[in-house]
Amino acid sequence: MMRCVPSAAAHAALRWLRNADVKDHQLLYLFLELTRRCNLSCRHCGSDCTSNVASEELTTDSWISVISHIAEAFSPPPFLVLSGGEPLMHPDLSRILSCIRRHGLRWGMVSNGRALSRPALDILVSHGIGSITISLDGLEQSHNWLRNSADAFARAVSAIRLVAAAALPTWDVVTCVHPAVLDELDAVAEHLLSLSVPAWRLFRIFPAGRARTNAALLLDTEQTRRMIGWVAARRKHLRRRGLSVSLSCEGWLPYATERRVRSVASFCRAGINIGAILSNGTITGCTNNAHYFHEGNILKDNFAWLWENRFEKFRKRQWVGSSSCAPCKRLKDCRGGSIHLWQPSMENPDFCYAEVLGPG
Amino acid sequence: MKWLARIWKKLLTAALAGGISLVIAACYGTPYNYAFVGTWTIHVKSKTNVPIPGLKVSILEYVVGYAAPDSENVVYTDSNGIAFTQLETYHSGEDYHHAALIQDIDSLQNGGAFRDTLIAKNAPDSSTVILNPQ
Repeated sequence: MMRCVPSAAAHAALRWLRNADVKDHQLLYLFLELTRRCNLSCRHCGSDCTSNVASEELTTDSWISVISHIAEAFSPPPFLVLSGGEPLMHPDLSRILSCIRRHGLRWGMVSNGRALSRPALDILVSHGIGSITISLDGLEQSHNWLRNSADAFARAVSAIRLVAAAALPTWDVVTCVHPAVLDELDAVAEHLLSLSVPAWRLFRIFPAGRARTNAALLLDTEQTRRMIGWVAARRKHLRRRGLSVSLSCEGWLPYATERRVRSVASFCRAGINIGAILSNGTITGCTNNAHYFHEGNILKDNFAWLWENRFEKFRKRQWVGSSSCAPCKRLKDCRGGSIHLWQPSMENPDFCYAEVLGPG
Repeated sequence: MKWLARIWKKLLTAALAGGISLVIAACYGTPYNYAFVGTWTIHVKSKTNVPIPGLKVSILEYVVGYAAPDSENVVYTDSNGIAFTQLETYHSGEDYHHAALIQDIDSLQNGGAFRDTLIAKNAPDSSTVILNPQ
């Protein structure tokens, strides 16, 4: 449509959109991190999830109260995203889904696919699931290595086949790209096409949780440039063949690059259109945010009030002015990029996409 | 006027994206098209309880207080008499509604000639309609 708009005009339009969205801050998308329990122990897990849960988690009754509060307090209500951990590992998932269904809320799920059997998928479908994302992190050897399991790939592919057959309104596959996967992206794309996957998002693993202590998982600047370049080069061709490929929402990119690698011109919507309630009740703007961005706890705070009256760190971003980003010419557009990249220090982002694309 | 600003935002976002799909897919989240507001499955039967295929079903979106619907999406009933559609909107707020105009466009090929019927979407995501003969 407007693919040929001049870059300066596009950036001005995007700034207007972002400012209007900040002012409006309509809650469109709410993560419910049901549990940190997981049936895998992935090398890169940003949440340090395991089969055992060390810290206290919200009870099922608490989640039901949260869902009822959201349904009553927001009109229109946000889309709920059940995440984890592995949400299918929640022992009372059916009760939570029944509550979501009873309130007529739209919802989706992120899963590693390991526990997604036909009966499990039937339950999700019967409760009106609108979108699901399955993780597949490369070909068999790469995926199994990252997921720390000899049969993780086979189980994930089995889940993808089930989802493909279920004809859900929206679904996709995500890949956490680590250095070993960079050379197999073409082969993964062919595999996804053979599985009738409609959409594929590529992530750069960010240094949180277990990934923080494993530098071998992280793409450096040159490798990140290669990943972005691969998406830009293959996107049209794969789209014509039925696979919509895009870069994940992480990181601000100039419009000239943005429009070649993403479907929607993006900025970090954490705390603006996206909220999150973590498994221990923490209220924040997205999953994997640093403690600095925690706004309260659902056990003692009213989410709707907090959403309307707080979240200034996400919306005003005054802290960026005292960070290493302050002198950057791209700051008025980037505003510090993705919130989850600001950890553990508030002085520098963990990774700067502007550096990938050359000096500002 | 918040709803008007939201319409402008959606249109501008769509224009910059090069399409009408407005999708949020947060990091480690799942895609959500926020122009998409739900689904509607319409089961159409005759008075003798026989499913009617081949009907044209025009999905209309309208805002209370405005005479004309301002979007239209056409689907057709399948061999089981079922029409399925995703509902999209460029309206944010509470005042938009959906209706379906069901029309028999193939004369007698689908087992009879039926009257045009207009129904409003008042059930969450599924409706059953009995058509009267002309």
